[in-house]
Amino acid sequence: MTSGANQAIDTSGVPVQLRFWWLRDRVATTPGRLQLMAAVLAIAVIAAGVVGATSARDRRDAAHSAAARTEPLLVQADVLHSSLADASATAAATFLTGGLEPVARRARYLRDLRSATAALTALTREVGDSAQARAAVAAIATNLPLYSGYIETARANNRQGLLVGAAYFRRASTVMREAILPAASRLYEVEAGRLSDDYDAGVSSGTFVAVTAAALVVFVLLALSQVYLTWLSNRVFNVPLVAASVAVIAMTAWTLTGFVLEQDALSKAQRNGSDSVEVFSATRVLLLRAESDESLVLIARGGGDNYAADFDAVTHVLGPSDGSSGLLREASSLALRSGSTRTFDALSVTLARYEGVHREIAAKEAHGHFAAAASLAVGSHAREAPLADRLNEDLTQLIASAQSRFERSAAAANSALGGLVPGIALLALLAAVLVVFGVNLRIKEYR
Amino acid sequence: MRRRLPQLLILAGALVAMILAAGCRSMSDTALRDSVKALDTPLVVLPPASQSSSNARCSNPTASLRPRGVLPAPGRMPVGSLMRTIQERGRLVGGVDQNTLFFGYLDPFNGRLQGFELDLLRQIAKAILGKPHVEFKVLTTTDQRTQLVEDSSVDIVADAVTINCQRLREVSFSTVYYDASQRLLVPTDSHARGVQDLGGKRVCARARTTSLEKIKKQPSHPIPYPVEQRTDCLVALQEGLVDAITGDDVILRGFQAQDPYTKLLPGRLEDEPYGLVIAKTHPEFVRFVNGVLEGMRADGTLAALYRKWLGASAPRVPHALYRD
Repeated sequence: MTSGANQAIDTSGVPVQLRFWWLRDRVATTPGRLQLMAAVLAIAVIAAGVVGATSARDRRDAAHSAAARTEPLLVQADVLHSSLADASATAAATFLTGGLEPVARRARYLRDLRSATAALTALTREVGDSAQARAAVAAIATNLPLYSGYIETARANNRQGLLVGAAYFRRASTVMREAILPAASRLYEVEAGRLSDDYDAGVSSGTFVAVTAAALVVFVLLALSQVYLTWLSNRVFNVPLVAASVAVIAMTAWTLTGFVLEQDALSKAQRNGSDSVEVFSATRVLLLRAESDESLVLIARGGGDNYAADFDAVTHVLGPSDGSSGLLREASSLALRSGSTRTFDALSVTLARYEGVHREIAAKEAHGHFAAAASLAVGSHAREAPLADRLNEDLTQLIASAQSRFERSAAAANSALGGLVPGIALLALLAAVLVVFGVNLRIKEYR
Repeated sequence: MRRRLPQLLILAGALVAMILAAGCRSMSDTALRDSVKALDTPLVVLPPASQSSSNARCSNPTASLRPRGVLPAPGRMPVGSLMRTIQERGRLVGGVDQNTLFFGYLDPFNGRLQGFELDLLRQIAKAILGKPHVEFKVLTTTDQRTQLVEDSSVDIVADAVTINCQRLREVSFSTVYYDASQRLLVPTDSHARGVQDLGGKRVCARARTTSLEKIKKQPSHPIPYPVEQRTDCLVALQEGLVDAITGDDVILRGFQAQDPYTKLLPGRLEDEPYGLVIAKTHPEFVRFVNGVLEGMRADGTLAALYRKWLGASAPRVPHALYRD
């Protein structure tokens, strides 16, 4: 205590010094010092237990959230985005084909709308406090009925051979491309960001350092206490204190091992699972966008420079089909990482063929042979549409297998932390009891 | 206990090393950001071409260049002329619309482009090549009608283009092939009897057209509602976004045919003489096309085309006017 504190008189008029009489009395005698030591040790052990348990809980929550909430939401966001993009591409292809609408294409359009609205409902429930996500959900929810209304009006007019159907279709397309799909894209980004936050929390080195530091402090205190007790008596070991040390070691080892296993599994879930899901679903959405661009170019019959430029922009982002750059390079290295590149290689071959047909179509279109270009793109003898469907199927398969890799690893991450929180609590309590018991054995010798 | 401590430290250290290694691997992953970035690829929207808004004056815009002598026979176009280029190419490249019923439209039943203006271009192709080979390029914006001719992407445009002084600064026109007039189309329940009753009401017209300019100048001050493509006006009317559509009578008749809940108001706002658009650099082609039109007027082909596409509502075939 400082001299200043000695002189300080508080409002009750009792000197501060007097209020710490119990501390002074204990420090003065050996049993008192031992009592104090037991208290400090017990508190340190409990504190280490609390640090371990809260860290384990935070990680468990993050891993659980990644597996059960944010990743499934990301999948929903992808379902929403790709269903909308597919609906848009399907409607454009139908319109381009002209004449009587093929039953299969109509069914596909309706299926797309159903899965998009189902996904939107799921995402709306979990929109949370992100203003961006709320705005995106609202934009989709308000524009999707408009879009489908315009499409149905276009169909009704087309069936009667009225030209205004084309104008309704253009309007629908504008709503889809300028309002709905960008919102779906933003929503997907929000969900990807949330998953990424969970990963960061699940592998945070802060929790690891905190647990290690707390354990080290407890070890140092236990070691010093042991040294002090050895110095007081001639016994080398105080058995309960040694047992407490073992309990603390077990607690720390279990915690850190759990953390390492969880972290390893979680980063596997990310690297081999959800990263692939993200890259493949982005690829799928961009391909669908290119597909719809292609139809719109041909629908515009020479007036579709916007769409042609958009097609080129999208394929530039995707990169060449061999995966030497762009998003496809990312996809190819992820496919390589997950072991099997067979599906990706097939995809790459199909994409090369797709691009070949696209060049043929573009050449025909440039020379004004719209009917020939359109029949190459869509319709019953088309060459491009089946390739686009194959790409879509390949990507769906890649996404599904990445998703199951994610689910396996995420489950492993969760089970790595199973029972850790109650375990830490039990071991910390046990260690605290042992510490008090062991020191009390020595105190009794002074009575 | 004291001997055990270093071992524990080593164990802890090893664990720390492992965890940091694992953490670094997962966080160095840029795939995630890249895919999200890729989805952000902005929608490409090409900027609309700027247009000169000069109010050029000219005395008689519908007067064109007189055909010289007898038309060359098909397949024997004079060397150095645009017709020769077309002959060697084997097809005429013509800009048309795909949304205007009767004049240039895509038939939803068979997916084929057809209409009065397409037949007109086929006649010109026939005069050059001996067969009606035309590559039709669909124009989607008003500006394209003159631009594509200026940059030689198309040889000729037939897209209900009104001949006026401002456009004559950029391109040449053939003689008038159709005399249209600007009118108003309103829903059947509208109480408007003319443009004077449309003050403060929204009136739809295609952007950058003479029709839109005319509406802006009305003393009753209707609110102009410009759209990119003509049929967008019918959508706007059906959606209740506008109270009336203004445009050329033939286009409005096409709308009326698609929506029985509309009526055409009496009274012409403006004469809209249509001419074929040809580049200023090819006066020989203007003269040639005028020669073809002259022949079609004389032998009744033009009148037959009027009847084929417009039936009973077909107006009189306009006379040709020349400035030389």
